[in-house]
Amino acid sequence: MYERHILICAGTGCISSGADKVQEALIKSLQEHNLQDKVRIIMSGCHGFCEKGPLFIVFPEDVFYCGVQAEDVPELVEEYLIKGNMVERLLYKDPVSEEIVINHDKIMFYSKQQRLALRNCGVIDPENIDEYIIRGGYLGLKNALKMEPSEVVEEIKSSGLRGRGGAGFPTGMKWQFCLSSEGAKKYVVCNADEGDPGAFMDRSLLEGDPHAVLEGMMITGQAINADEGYIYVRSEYPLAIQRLRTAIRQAEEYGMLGENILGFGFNFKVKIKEGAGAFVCGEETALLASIEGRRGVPRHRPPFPAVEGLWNKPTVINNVETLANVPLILRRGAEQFASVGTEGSKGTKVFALTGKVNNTGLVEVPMGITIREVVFDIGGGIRFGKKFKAAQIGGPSGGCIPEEHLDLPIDFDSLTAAGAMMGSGGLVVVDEDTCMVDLARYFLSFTKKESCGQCIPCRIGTNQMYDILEDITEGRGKPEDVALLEELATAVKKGSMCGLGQTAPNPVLTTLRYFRDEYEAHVNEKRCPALVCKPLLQYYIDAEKCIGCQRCIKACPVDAITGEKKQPHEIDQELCTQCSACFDACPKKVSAVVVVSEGLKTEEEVEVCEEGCKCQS
Amino acid sequence: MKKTVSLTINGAKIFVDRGTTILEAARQNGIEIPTLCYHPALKPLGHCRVCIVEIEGMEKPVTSCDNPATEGMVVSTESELLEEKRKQLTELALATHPYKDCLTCTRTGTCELQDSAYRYGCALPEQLERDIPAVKTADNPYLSRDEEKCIICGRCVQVCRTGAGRFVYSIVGSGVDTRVAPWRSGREVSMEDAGCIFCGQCIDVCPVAALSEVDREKGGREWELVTYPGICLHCSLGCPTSRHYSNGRLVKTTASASKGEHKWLCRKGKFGLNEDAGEENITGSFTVKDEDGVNQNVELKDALKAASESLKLIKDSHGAGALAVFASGQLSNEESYLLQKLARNVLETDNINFGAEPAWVEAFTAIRAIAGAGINGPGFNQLERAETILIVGSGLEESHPVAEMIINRAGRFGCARVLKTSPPTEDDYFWQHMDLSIFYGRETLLFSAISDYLEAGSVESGLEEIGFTAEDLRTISGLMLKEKSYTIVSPTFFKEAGPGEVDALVKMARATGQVAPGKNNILLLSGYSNATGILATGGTSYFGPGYIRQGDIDDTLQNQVKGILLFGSPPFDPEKVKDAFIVRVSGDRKEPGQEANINITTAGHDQKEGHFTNAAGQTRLNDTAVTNNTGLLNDWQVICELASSFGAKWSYASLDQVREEMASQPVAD
Repeated sequence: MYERHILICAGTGCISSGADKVQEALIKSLQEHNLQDKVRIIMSGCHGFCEKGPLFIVFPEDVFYCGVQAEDVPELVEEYLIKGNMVERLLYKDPVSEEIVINHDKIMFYSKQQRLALRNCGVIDPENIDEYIIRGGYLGLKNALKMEPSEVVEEIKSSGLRGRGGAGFPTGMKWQFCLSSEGAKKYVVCNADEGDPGAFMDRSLLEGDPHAVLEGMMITGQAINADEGYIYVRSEYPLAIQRLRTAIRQAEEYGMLGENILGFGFNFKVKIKEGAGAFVCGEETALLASIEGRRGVPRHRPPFPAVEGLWNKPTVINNVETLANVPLILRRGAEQFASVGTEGSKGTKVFALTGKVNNTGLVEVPMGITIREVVFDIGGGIRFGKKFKAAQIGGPSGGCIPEEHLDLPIDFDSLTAAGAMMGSGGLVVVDEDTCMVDLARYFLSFTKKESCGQCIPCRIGTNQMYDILEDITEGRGKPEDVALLEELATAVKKGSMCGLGQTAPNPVLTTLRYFRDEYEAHVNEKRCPALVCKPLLQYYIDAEKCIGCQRCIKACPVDAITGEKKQPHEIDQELCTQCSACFDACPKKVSAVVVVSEGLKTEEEVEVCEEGCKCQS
Repeated sequence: MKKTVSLTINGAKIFVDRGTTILEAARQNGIEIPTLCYHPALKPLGHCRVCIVEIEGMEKPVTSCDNPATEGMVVSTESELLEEKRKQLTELALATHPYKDCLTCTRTGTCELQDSAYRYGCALPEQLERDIPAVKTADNPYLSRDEEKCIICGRCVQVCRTGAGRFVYSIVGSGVDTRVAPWRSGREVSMEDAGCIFCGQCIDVCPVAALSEVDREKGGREWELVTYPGICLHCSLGCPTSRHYSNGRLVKTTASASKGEHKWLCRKGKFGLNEDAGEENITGSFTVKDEDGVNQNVELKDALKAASESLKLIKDSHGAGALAVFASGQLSNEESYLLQKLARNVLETDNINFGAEPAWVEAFTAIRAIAGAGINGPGFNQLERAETILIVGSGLEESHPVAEMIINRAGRFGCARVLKTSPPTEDDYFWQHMDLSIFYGRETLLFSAISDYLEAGSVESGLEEIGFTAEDLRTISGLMLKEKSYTIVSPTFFKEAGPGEVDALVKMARATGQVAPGKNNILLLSGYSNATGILATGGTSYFGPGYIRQGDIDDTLQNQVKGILLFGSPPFDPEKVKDAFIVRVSGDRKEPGQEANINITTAGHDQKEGHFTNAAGQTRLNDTAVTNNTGLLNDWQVICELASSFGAKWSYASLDQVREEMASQPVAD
C-alpha cells in the first residue's frame, strides 16, 4: 500500500529542464531510505506550468514543488517525505504578493483555470490505459456506440462545440455534412500539425492524455460511419508520437481499437502519419495532400473534405483539442458542456500563455473570460512591473489586442470582431518595451517563409509587406508606405486561396488599427517609441553621470567611443552601429549610457560634409 | 436533379450544364474573364486569383475558374473593385517577373502576363529578391527553362502529370523562393533524369516565356508567326498540330485540337519537323543513273521524262504485270487515290501496295466486316475513360508515344486496369497494371484462352505450366468483358503475326464483345502513318477505293516485276528486286541512295495539302503552310505528270477536284 504518490511532470518542457534526472534521483533516494514500497512515482503529462518545471507534486497532501532539480531530491526526501518539513525554497512564490503558496490549486495560475480538455493532463500516467479508464475514459465511446450515428451528431451539435484549430467551425455541423455524404468509405483525421510558434497545447494533450484523442476519434468514427483514422502529427513531437503509439497498442490490447469494439460491432483503426513541419500543412486540404504523399499545399474548396477528402473519400478533420473535448460531451452530456462558455462559444479553450507575463505556460480557461483575467490573474501580471501594451492572440496569423480591449471576452466571435482570432490558441503578452511595427515584421517573417507559394497574393504580397515593414523598422520608411502596407494587407487577406494567406496580414492590420501612431512615428519622424528598432536609435553618454571607467570603450566593437580614464566618454555617432554593447557594459549603478530615439534628420537637415556624403551626424 | 443551371452574368441570364465553372459559363456566352493560370485543357488551380468575380451575397470576390455556377447565382465580372484587384494582382506578379526583358523576349505580344499588365495599366514594381537560379537552363537539346520568368501558374506541372503521365516537375521551396524544377527523390536533377520524354507540352501551355524551345530566341516573335493546321505523320495516330512559320521557315510545332479531340504531342510531333528542317543543306535533287550506275543530276522535267519513258518501255516489252507501284505511308488520301488510279487505269497493273503489315490489313478488314463500315476504333477520349486496356505487342513508347501517354494517363489518373503482354517497365509501377508478359511473343495463347473461356466456359487453358491459372483467366476475362474495355495492338505484333494470330485476335474481340456490329473497341496500330487512309483509298492490290475488293492479300512483288514506281522508302527488301528498274519519288531531302535508277525529290510533308486518316478513323486536313517556293513538285503533281506522259487525260486543276471525284466513289459495306 502506497502512502504517497509523487507526480513528476514528464511533458517535453519539464523533461528538457531535467525531469527525467529528477526521476532517477528520486528512485535512488527512495531506495536508500527504503521507501520504494511506500511512495509511488508517476511520470505524468504536462501540468501547463512549464516555466516553473520540473514540477514535483506530492499527494495526498498536494504540495507543489517547482523548479526541482536532481540535486534537490535528497533534500526533499529527507526533509519533507521523512521529517515532514516544507522545503520552502522549492515552493511556489506568488510573483505579485510574494507569498508562498503550498497547494497546487491555490496558485492563481491554476485557480482561475477550468481544465476540461486537459482534465487528465498531469494527473494520470499517460502510458497507462488503466488510469485513463479509471478517470471515466472510454465511457463516452460506450455511450456513443449505443447511439445511432445521427444521434451522436445531434449530441455534438447541441453541445455547441466549435473547432479548436482556429476557424471555430461548428463541429457537429462538420460531422453532419460528412455523415450525409455518400460513400461507403470515410475517414477521420486528427490534425495534430501544431505549427504556430509558441503553441503547444496539442503536444501537451497528446503527451499527457493520448487516449482522450483516440476516444474522440472513435466517437467521430461512430458518428460519421468511418472505420479508419489518421493522426497527422509533426515529427518534431517525438514524445507525443511515442505516447500515441503506446496508447494505440494498449487500446488494441484492450479491444478498444480494432474490430468489434466493446462488442458493439464497431470497427476502427488508427494510423499515425508524421508531418515534416510545414506550417501550411495545418490547413486541412494541405494536410490531406501530405497524408496522400503529395506536396502539402492547399487546394480550392469546395469540395470540402467532408464531401471529398482523404483519397477523395468523405473525411472529417478535427483538431486535437476538439477531439479531446468530444469524449467529455458524450460522457457527461451536451448540456453540461454547454453550461460553460458564452452564447456562441461553448466550453473552454486552452492557451499557450507566453511573453512578458510572470506566469507563462499552458492554461485552459472557460470561453468568455476576459483577456485581463488571463493576463493579470492567471499570468500574474507583467514582468518587472512594466506596462501592458497588447495581447497577441492566435499565433502568427492572429491579431494584437490593445489595452483598451483588455476586458474583451475571449470567444470566437468577439476576437474576430476585434481583428484577431482564436487561432490554435497562442497568447503572447507584450509590454511597453515592444515595438509593434517590429512585432508585425517578426510575424510576417514567419508567414512569408511558410507561404506555400501557390497563389500570387500570399507568395508575393506577404513578401512585399515584409519588405515595407523592414524598410520602416530600418528607417527607410516613406510616408506613403503606411497606406500601401494597409492596401497590400487587405489585398492579401481578401485575395489569398487558403487560411494562411487570409490571416497572415492580421498582425499588420491590427497593429495598424490600434498602434498606427507607432508606424507614423517610424515613418514620419524616424523614431521608434519603444526603443527597439536599432537603426532609429541613438546612444549617448551622459557626461554628468559618466565615471570614465572605460568599460564601454572596451566593449564597443567599432571603436566609436573615445575618452580618457576618469573623464566623460563620448560616442562618435557616425561610427556607432547601435549595437547596445556600451549600454550593457555601463555599470547599472552608473547608467551613463542613454538610448533615445529622437528621429533621424530629414533630408533637408542633413548637412553635406566635406567628403560630400550626407551622413546623419 | 436538373442537368442545367441558370445564372445571371453581367445582367444576362444564361443556362449552362451543372458543374460548369463560372469562368466556363461566362466564356461559353462570350463574356471574357481575364486569367493568368487557367488553361482550358487543365484542371483549374486558382493560383493567380486574377479571374475573380463578384457574386451577389458574397462578402468578397471569388475566383471564377474553380467555383461552379449554381442556380440563381448573380455574377458580375467587371467592376471598379475587380479592376483594381486584378491590377494589384498583376503588379504583384510583375514584382517577381523580369519585365525589363520584355523588349527582347520572344513571347512579347502573346505573353499572358504582359497582356494583363497592359490591360490594367500596371505600375512596374521593384523586383523582389529571390533565391532562384537566374540563368537559363538547357540540359537537353529540346527545351530550355528560364526560372526567373516563371509565375508558378502550375500549368507545366499539371500537364506533365495529366498529359504526359510523367512527374518531371515539382513545385519546390516556399514563399517567394517557390520554384518549379525537375525533381526526383528529393533533389533537383536534369530533365532527362526526372523522366522527361520531351513531349514539349509544358512549353505549349506556359503563359510566359519561362519554358521555350531551345534556340527559340530570335526565331521570330510569336505575333510574327504564321500558323497553319497540320497533321503529324510520325505515326498512325495522326495528331493534329499547328505549325508556326516565320518568313517561310518552320519555327515550331504545337499541339492543336478542335473540340472533342485529344490535344497532345510527343517529342517526335513537337520537335520532329524542326529536326528534319535542320537537314536542309540539300534542298532536293533529281537524278538519273547513267550506264556506269552513277547518279547524274538532271533537271526535273528530264527526270520525269526519263521515268515515264523507262516505265513505258517495261510495260511495252514485259506487259503491265511487270510494273509495280508502291505508296508511302506519308501519302495523303488524295495522293493515294491518284496513285492507285495511275496504277490501275493508266499503267494498267494491279500490283499496287504500300508497306502496311499484311496482318494489320487482315485484322482491320476482319474487324470492319464485323463492326460495319464507318465504325472506327476507339479515339483517345474513349481510351482515357477506359476501365480496361489490353496492350498487345510492345514498343508503343517508340512507335506511338502519344498512345503510350494516353495509357499512362488512363492508368494513373483514370480508372483503367492496364494489361500488358510486353515486359514491364519502370513506369508501370504507377499503374494498376497486370503483367501478362508470360504471353509476350505468344499472345495467341492468351486470345484463345479468353475466347474459349467466354464462349465455352472452359477454364482448362492448359497454361498452368507457364504460371497462368484458371483464377487469372477468370479475372482477365472479367476485365475484358467490361463496357469500357479496349485493346490496343502495336505494330510489333502485326510485323510478326501470321493469319492464325489475327484470327485468334478477332475471335477474342468478338467473344469479349469489344467488337460487335456497330461497336469497335480495338485500336489497330500500323507502323505506317496514313495506313488507314491509304487502305480506304485503294492503295493496295486487294482493295480499290472504298474497300471494294480487288484481289487477295498476297505478295505484290512477284518475280516478274521489272519496273517499280516507288514513293518514299522501299517497304521491300531491295535484294529481291535487284534487276528491277526503280523510279523513286520522295520528300526525303537526304542525298539519294543507289537503290533507285531515277530519283525525284518532292516537297516535304509540311508543304503538302491533303487529308490523312488516323488509326481511329479520324480524317483531318494537313494544310499547305507556305507557298511552295522550293522548286519542288508535290507528290500528287508528280503522279499527274506521269499520268499525262502516259497519255491520260487527267485535268485536275486542284485537289478539290480530286476530292469531288473521290466522294463520288462507292464504298463497300
